[in-house]
Amino acid sequence: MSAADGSIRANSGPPRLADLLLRAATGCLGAGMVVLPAPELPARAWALLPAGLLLVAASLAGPSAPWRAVGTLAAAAAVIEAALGQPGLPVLAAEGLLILGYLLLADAPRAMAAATAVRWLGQQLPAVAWGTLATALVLVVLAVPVPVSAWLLVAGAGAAVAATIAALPHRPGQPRKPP
Amino acid sequence: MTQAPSPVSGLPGPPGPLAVTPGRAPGPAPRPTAVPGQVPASWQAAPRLRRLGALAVAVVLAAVLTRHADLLLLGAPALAGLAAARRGTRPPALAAGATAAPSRCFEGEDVEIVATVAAPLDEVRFRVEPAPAVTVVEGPVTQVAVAGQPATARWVLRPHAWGRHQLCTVAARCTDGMSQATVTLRPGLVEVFPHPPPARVTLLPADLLRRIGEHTAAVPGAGIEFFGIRGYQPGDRLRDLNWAVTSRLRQPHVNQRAALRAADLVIMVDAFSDVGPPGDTTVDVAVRGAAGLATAYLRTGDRVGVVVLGGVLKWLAPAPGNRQFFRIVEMAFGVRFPSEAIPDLDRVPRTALPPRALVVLFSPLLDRRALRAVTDLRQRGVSLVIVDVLQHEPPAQPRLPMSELAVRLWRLDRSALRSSLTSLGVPVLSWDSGTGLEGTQAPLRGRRIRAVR
Repeated sequence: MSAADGSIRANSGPPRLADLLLRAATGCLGAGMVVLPAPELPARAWALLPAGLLLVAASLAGPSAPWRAVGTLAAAAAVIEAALGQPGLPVLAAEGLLILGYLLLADAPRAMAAATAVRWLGQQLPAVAWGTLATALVLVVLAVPVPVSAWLLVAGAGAAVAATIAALPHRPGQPRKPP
Repeated sequence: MTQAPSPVSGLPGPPGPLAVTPGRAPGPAPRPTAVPGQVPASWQAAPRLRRLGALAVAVVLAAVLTRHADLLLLGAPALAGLAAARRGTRPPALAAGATAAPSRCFEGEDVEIVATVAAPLDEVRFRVEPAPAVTVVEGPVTQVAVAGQPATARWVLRPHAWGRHQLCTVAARCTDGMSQATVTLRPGLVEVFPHPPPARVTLLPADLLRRIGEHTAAVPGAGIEFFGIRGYQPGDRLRDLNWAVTSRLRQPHVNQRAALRAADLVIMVDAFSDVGPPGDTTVDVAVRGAAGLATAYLRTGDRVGVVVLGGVLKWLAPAPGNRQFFRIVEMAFGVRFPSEAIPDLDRVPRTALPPRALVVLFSPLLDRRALRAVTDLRQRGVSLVIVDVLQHEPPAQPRLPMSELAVRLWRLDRSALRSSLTSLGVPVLSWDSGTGLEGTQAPLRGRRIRAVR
């Protein structure tokens, strides 16, 4: 019986060029964020490099590609690499921007037309601009020699929590009943 | 052979005079537009929010654990991206909808599905989920629209199973800022008519009706076929004189012609058992066969009726005309009604099951209630033909040695059943739905079906 069992014929063709390019760019950014802190890694932590690359590859293709947690794990592997290797500030700044770019592109919808992909990339530009600005600001702050302060860490944690709470959706309130 | 326009959709449909040209202005069909309605939306955090938030937490944890404040540089871009993102409007209901056009078509014809979300959102991902026995023939399964574009997606689906059903559901994942909601859009029901396979009017009862028709009867009349020779009687036309016989016997003799009479066909559909893959089940095949026979007999001016043997006994009295075809298939839409009830054919009125009608029963011969109906029909004295529509054997499990034996026994049982029916004078034909009904009817060509009590 031919195609009479709820099959999907139109989607079985080759992926679109825009989709391929987006995936390639995502792979490059992901590989960069994993490889960049690798030279500073201690010998016993080198296993993180292939693990991170595998996670990046798995987030782009294969059966695990639809699982969004895979991309988050790849970014977490890069953060652990940076924490263990403790590279310099420029490397950390570049690593942060690479992680942001990778996470943004990994969230791109599949099978977009070229015009739609261009529009979608345009929508991501504000996030990239704000990320670059924030990186520059933090880089300047960290470049100034100040003693290590627990208050700074607490402020960073508070900023992260505040940003998450501000962006979290809230249930719409129930309208008040008339008295 | 060119295909005539379908009577229901304007697209190429089944051949034959049944295909009536729709009274629509020529030209391309207007594109369907989805009329958006208010669909309730449940908003959640977008995956990007979770990702960036998780990254920020991981960075802060790493900075705290390693006492290395420089690591905050890793999370700064993500936090800035989070802070810069809009929260989104998050309306409690979205103006969205999906339409299917045309709303009536034949199997194998194309139906256009259009889904629309008429709300200002950052991104809408449409994904179509076709129903069983429906194929997506045009348009990617997942379509994306971003802000600034019309949030509309279009697919062309092709149903392969008749019935009144929903061809697909469309899941629209709407993202606005850092919020996301998924709404399910359901296009309207589409009436898919069975595509009638090619069939011929070769099955005829031995006793035809007294109504004038196109079938040669076994009585003299004003037809075309030669019937016999008899002596001249006053009133006979001179053009009917058989000069050869007259000159040999020296008495005037005339040719007699056979009468042309109509027939009544009653199609019975056994809906007790419905086995097989979606779109090709025994009920699907039976209704297709019924549509093919009805088309062929209605084309010759005969009257066609239908009786559905199922949980709810339904019937349609024989009637001529193109409209009867659509009455029959519309009634067939409701045959899938699982029940344990045993139909009582005595409830079928005499007008719906005339005594001299030819009854063609489409059945997989799996349910005993259908065989009981065959007995009832024989007692009523109707001319009966059974068309076996079972095409798939029960699969044998290769690991179980007794399974193959069971299948062989099942085959023998069916063979014995068919033989017993044939020995009772009820012809049993096998029909594979991949072919037309003509080949199936071939063994009974030129033979009149007699009623056997």
